[in-house]
Amino acid sequence: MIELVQVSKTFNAGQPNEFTAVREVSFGIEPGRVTALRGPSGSGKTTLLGLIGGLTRPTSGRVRLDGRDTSALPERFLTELRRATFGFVFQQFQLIRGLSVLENVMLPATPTGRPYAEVRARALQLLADFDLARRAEAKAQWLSGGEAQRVAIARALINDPKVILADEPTAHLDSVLSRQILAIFADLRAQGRSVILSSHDPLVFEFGLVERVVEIRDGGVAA
Amino acid sequence: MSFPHNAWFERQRGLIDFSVANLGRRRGRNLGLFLAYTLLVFLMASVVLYGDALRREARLLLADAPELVVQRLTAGRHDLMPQDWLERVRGIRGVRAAEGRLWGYHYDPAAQANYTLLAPNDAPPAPGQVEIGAVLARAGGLVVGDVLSLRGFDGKPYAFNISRVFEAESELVSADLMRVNPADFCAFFGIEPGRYTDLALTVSNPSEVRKVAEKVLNRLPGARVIAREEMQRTYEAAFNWRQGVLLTFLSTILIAFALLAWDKASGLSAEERREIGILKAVGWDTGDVLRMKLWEGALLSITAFLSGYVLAWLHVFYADAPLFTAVLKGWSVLYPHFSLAPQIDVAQIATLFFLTVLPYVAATIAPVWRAATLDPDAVMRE
Repeated sequence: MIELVQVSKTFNAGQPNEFTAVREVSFGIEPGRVTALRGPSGSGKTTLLGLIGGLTRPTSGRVRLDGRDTSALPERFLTELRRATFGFVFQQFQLIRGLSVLENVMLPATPTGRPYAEVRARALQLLADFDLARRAEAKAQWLSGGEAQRVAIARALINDPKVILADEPTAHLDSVLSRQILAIFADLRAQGRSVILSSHDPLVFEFGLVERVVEIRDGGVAA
Repeated sequence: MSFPHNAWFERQRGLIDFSVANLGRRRGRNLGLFLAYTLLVFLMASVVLYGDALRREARLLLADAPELVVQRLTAGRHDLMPQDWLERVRGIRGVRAAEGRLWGYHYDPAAQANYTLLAPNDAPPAPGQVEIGAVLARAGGLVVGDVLSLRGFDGKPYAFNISRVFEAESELVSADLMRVNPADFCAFFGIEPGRYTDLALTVSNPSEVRKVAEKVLNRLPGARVIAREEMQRTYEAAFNWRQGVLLTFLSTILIAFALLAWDKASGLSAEERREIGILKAVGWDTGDVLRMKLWEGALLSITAFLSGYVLAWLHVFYADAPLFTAVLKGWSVLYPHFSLAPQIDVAQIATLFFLTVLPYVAATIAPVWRAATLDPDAVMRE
């Protein structure tokens, strides 16, 4: 169970370019479901995903994971928690150029100290699951949009997280590829994982995957 | 974690893997840095290795030198030593042995070089014969059996038969040396027989050298006494000065390299910042990013350091340091050609290491630390 209590996030506080992306947001997300944050561009969806996943800390308010307040954890513990609990799929894929697909997928496992052979085997299995086995040694920059998105999902799964956070996962894909990606999320849901995604793409909501929609507007939850 | 014993090693292995991949990704930049770095270490290590080896060589040679050398000064100028001075120092308590030596410099206008002529007391060459240093032999294209003609004090040519060429091991100071018979020496320079250039004294107890020197001065007013330690210091000062000149020159290269390294290593590109953001977003903490960058800097600088040092070692001990010959060795126009004894000095390696590797690694870490302490959510907001 993830809970946000009166969460606000202000960037560049005290500077002329100060702006508040999220204001006093409170809601809860049940585990094992697909939850979508829906709203127009600039409404604060991405910032909320970052706050839920511990990528950034709230300026005020609390974020709780299974009852534990994560917003006050020291960096090391927050990172460990993030690594073990969340898998991130970023809007721009954010693969590292020059590294192979396999190396990109294995990256989040490096700080865990798991045996190399085990991590490699898991990464290859994930790539095979997503029909990318033959692209394992390809450089990240050689991939098509659909391939890059699937690699990003494989990378998100390397540490076997309970929660997948996906920011606009269909933003750079055509309809066919978008459906493929959503089908992957449906599989993840079937495996018992929570999926939290942000989107304003009608296709995502028509697909029948999303079980709960949280409407976001101007940094707050719309009534 | 479920692998407590291997976790640390697996983690370091992962970080090293990533560092190696990173170095490979920016091949051009890293290769440039590696070459500049290797060149710098090569030059610095060459000077240090060469200077140290020369000083060691000089110390070894001087180990066989007499403890005290007595010269005669007339009005402050070096003068020849009468026979009776030799007898007078022999009577001094503490002097185990004393011998008169005959040696002097000769300028040969044909070769435009200074030679050092020496008439040894032990096993001197037969009259009319000369033994010459290998450099001199090489310079004049001389071999055993040839005749060497030099102009004596009276302007007449004196012919010597070359009976031997010295071994290369002693070239450092014997490069321009000629050994002749004492009678020939006196005839060549116009010196009355029974006179010496100076006296060489062997002292029974090394701790009494200073005391014996005092006694010599008391007994022979107008004498100048030179201790072996003073000669050693003179050699060292000469080599130190030469090494200093080279290091001063090298310091400009060092500064140029420092600027290059600072520019290349400390400036993070937008791409690198983005990558650090990605690593943090996917679960690396600040420490992991720093460790990875530390490995990257260490791999580059240690490899460059080792390459530079090994090249310098080969340059000095196997190639006879062609880059520094003119500055660092030789006393006259004739340059010795000799091989220094290969040597590895741990303290010297450590000094060079700390002067080159640590500043580089430190320069790379500071900006990464700044980037790595930022919130990773910047990646999401791109």
